[in-house]
Amino acid sequence: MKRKWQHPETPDTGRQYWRSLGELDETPEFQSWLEREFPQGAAELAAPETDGGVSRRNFVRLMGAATALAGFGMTSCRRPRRFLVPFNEHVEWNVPGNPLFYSTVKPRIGGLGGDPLVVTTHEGRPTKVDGNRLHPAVSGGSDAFMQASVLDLYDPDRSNNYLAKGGKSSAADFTDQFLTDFQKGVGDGAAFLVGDSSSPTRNRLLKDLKKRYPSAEFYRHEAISHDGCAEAQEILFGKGVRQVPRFDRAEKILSLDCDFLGLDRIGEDPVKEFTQGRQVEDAKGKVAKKMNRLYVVEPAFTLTGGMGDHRLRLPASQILKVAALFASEIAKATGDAALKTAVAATAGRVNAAVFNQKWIIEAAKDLAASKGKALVVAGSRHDKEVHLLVAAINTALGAYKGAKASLQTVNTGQKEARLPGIADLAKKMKADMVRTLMVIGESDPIFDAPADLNFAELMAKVPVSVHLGVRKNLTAKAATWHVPGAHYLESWGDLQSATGIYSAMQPMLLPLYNGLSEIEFFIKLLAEPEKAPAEGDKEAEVAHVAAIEDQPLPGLAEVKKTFATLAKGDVKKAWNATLRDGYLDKSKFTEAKAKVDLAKVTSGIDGVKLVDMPYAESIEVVLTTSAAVYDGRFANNGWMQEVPDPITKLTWDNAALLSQATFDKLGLKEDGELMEVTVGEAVIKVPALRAPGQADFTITLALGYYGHDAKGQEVEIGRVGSGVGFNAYPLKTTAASYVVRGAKVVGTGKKHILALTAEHYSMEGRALAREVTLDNYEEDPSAVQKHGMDAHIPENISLYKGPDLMNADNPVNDTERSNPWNFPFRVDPDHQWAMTVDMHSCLGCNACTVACQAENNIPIVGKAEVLNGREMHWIRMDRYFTTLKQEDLASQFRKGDGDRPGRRTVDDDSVEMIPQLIGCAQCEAAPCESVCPVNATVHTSDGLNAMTYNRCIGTRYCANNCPYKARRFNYFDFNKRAIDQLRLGPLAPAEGNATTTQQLQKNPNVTVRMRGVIEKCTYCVQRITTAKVAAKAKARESSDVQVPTNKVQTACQVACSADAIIFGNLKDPQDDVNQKNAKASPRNYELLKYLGIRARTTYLGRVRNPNPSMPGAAKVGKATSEML
Amino acid sequence: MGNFFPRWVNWIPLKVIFCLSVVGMLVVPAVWYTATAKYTRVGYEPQQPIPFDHSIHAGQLGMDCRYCHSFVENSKHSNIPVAEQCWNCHKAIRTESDKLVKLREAVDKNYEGYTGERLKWVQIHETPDYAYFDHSVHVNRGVSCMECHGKVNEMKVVRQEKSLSMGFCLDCHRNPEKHLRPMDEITNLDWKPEDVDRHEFFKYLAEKTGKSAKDFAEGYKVKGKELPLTKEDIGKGLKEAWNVNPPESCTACHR
Repeated sequence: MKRKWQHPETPDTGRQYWRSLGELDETPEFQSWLEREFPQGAAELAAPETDGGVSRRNFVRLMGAATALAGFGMTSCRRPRRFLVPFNEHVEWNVPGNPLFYSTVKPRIGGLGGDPLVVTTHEGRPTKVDGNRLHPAVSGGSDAFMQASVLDLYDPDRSNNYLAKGGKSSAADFTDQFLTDFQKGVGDGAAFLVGDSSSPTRNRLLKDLKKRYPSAEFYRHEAISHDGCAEAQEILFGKGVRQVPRFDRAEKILSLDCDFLGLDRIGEDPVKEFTQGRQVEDAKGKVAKKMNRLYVVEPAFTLTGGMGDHRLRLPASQILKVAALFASEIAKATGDAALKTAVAATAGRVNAAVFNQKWIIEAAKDLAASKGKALVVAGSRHDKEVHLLVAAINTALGAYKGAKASLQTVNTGQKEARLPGIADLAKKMKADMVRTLMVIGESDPIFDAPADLNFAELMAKVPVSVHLGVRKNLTAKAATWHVPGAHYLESWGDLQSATGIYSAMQPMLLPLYNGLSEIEFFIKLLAEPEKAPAEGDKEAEVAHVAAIEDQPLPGLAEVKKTFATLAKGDVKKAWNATLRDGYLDKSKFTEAKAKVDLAKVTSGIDGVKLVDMPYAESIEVVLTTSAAVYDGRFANNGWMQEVPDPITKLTWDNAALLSQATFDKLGLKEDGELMEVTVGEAVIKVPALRAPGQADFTITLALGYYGHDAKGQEVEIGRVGSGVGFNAYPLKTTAASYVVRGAKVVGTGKKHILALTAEHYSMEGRALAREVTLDNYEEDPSAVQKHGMDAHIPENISLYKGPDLMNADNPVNDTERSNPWNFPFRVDPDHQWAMTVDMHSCLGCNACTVACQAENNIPIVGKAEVLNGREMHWIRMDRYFTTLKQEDLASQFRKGDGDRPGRRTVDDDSVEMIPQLIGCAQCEAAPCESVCPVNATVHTSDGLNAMTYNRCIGTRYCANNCPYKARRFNYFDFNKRAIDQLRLGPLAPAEGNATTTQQLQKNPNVTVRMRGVIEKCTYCVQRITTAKVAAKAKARESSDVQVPTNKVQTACQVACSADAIIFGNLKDPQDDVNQKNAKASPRNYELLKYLGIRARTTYLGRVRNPNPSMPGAAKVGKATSEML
Repeated sequence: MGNFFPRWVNWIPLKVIFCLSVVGMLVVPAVWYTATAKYTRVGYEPQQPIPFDHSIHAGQLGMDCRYCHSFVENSKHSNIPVAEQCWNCHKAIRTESDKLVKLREAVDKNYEGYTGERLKWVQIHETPDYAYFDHSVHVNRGVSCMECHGKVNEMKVVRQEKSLSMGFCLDCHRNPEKHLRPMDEITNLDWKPEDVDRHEFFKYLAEKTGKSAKDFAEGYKVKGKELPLTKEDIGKGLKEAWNVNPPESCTACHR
């Protein structure tokens, strides 16, 4: 029976949703992505033979040879003999087959505290790191860097040897030729360059070093520094006092270019705190009036901007002026005369007319209205003046006041001034006053020091330079001596969090390559020179070796020594508890209760230079932290290189982000066009990429990619990171570290291909990501359930409805037809798994994607295959932009431009962002199952859509039939071969991932998939099975075999700092997934519900909290209805 | 009339027969081989580095399986004991035996041949890498070691008794009642259903299920006559009492 069905008229909300500018333009490329599973030609053997590709003839030849060879020796007829090799002696805690969990802590990149961790080890191999959920200050979630850090441990290109001038050397040589002599001296002419660290032991040893080597000098260097913020705090509060924001206590938050939810993690755990303050409902599901409101001013979209209720795009150089304007407006609104006089001089110099004044005035009023519960934060990249102004504003807003202050001040107890920076070191080096240079830490100064210092040349002048680090980076190769560093999973150490909570770092395994941690290296330097046994004296030699072997771990001893000074009461007991729980109970810095002296602010900002808006001939370049490689230290980490940037969805590259207007003005033709950016004498070439919501005449460029050197040679950094991206450090100078002004930008007409995944697996239109405003939500809590077609879904009269899994007595609609052998399909009465993704909390930060990759042995595929749409991530983080529709303008544009439709304009001022996590939704009536010819994907009794790899023959029908496009196909042996050897013939030896240490990272409970099979999200079935097995093993003679409530947590759920992923058992009424913040929420909706596939993964709509008096407020949070 | 077909057509039937016979010659051995027990390695009985005799330890001496395979109830693997475990006893018993040379090389630091080299036991019972078998859930739910490994307590040299193929697993998962036994008899490989006292057993079932013992007694009578309990009878009762519901979905073993 054919039904005719008419869509009702869609309400015009004036907003439209899109994933890429190509979608907006309706380019043929986008249409191809939309209609085909993979772009045309991608499935063929397209690469020319000279590129390592295989021609058809060659392919057939090789296949024939392989088949013929397979017969020789009847290799497949004999199973190999396998051995079981038990230990000789019992190993404590080790139960073969069961994982062991250790608590430890990872230095937070940038040196601001630590991320407490729980590490999963299998037979001594760390395979997965997760946040520590016991820790009092953090959520126990992760960020992508944390998840990917375990891969660095197994990086086959990491430093595995002592190097002397880049050539192989040994520990003995280092000791003989350098260390012993150094230990005898007092450090004359020695200079130490160290990174930031909050490790009390390291900092104590650093002080000891100063005592031991009184003539040595100490400097600090971090490529991405927080200097402006630290300087401002030192001016205001004195030495050792630090302010820590508490986002959960703030109802109104203004971020001045501070990506606190993303790459500028200030405080303890901003994501957790912000999410807590942003809850729409309380625990009982009632609408709580306390949901916070976020204002963001920033040059380029960040995760924070995406969460913002109101966003203003402005060049980074203008943040200072805006801060001054905010200060004077807030002074007005609160009637704070002190603040008014403090900033009057500076604010008076600002020409307010160039800014969106109404935006600033209304936002200021709103902040002032929440006095005592408002918070303003400024980005770490900004100079101290911005931070001083912000401190003054916060004082006026009462942020420092009271027991529930949204800005805590703590006393770290540090009495010394901060170490001088790398610029001071460079001066000394220039004057030839440094004879021994020690570079210690994770940054790579030759690569990332300000360009005007010419650090590489200076370092070459130093007679002896020593580098300690985990990576074999440029500094390691240039140094006279390189000492291999120990990864944090291999070393003893300790760290204090932002508020001083102490965590011990414990190793999971001995250093793979005999590396030294920073602490151990310092101990070595502090030790007396070793007396090597006389040659030929066998007895002395044996005694010497024995003495070394019997030594307790030196790092551990020092850490324990520090611990004894911090712990109260029974130290041994406290130490054991610290190792078990991952933190020392009741360890905290004392509250400083510091007050801001406005006179200091005034004198600090007086006469500060205010700069003009950038324009086409003088472009501003903002150098940002990369979401993939941070400052370069993750450059050789394949997971980070391949995970699409949360905003741009760019992989394996960085690009200069520009607004459409700037793009047009510069006369650029297409995304990926190489531009020449000239600042002073520095010239770099970078590809252009249009980014919605970007401030005009501002380029945002991520740092940390090694790319090519000035001569066009690939910079050697490892098999993953060599030659990837474009080095932006040449633009960084001492004077202008992160905001570089006056750049001349010219298009070159040449194109660099960018691997963007924004259009991959596109689901076209339809009400996918849904949002409402808080007011709408209060009126009609279930508003999101009626968006798009969901308001008028006709009755489902499909013939195949799938089994009714929630009803154990009535399992199947048609037993006999569903399987020819007539086995009854049994339904598990105790377990039915389901997931809810709360898009209200989800930032789109990628932590889940990388966590999934670590847990499920998901390979990387390389840039070339990403371009073919073959990325393997089981979790696809879709990112939608929404803009105001401007039909009149659009039609104007659409007229011209020959055959192709003209561009629709993007109103960059009104862009909003909304991310959506998509994985396999485990549909009850799954379309993929009915098309599999070999039953490789079938439904399980507990409601999973199972994928049996060993049965899959790779027809890919399932992937074709999946409405969520959640299935991935292994086109090559991604797990076996390195990404540059994928296209080698079947007989070529595997020299890639399978032969390196990387296979040690693999999760033994998950099959490592081979070429030719489909894979997809399984709800971490290995965790489900393990939990079910454990429940049954525990039940023994009892009949209660249900998995305990909330016992199973998927890898993505554990990784989420915002608790946006809720997974559980529908059959357990107490389970989180059945609660008011999940399936029972009125915001709960099913994606593509009208298909009648009954997805087990559902979504909670996002709620925005616009301020009605702000400009453009009426158009905020008007979701989705255009996505029909 | 001329010839419709060229001469070479005459060869076609011969060619077809030749090809078919070649295919047949390949297919027959292939089927023959894969259908025999040899394919699943039933009877596989490799030489071990130490000729450890289960019939002495588990049979004569009556040592419990779990004395050596100590983690079988807690882990998916039933561990091979560490060499130290053997040495615990053998440093006092038959220390000088020739059979123990490899063991002493591994653990006895006072032995002149001490190398510390680990013992490499040959794996006999093997499931493919993509099948994730878990010992703990079986031995904790009434499946004896014997069901898969046979009567190891009577084996001088351990050999593979059962096919351990997917069909073998599914047989039991579909009809678990044929393979269950009381929990305290799991490692008693000589257990016989006749050993079970029927009235005690019914009482136990009644206690577990909340039914009356009489109901059970009635259920196991044929024409009012009490027959000796068979293994299946016991299994049926235990299946109900313990809610034994083995999974048949792919994800039970494949992930």
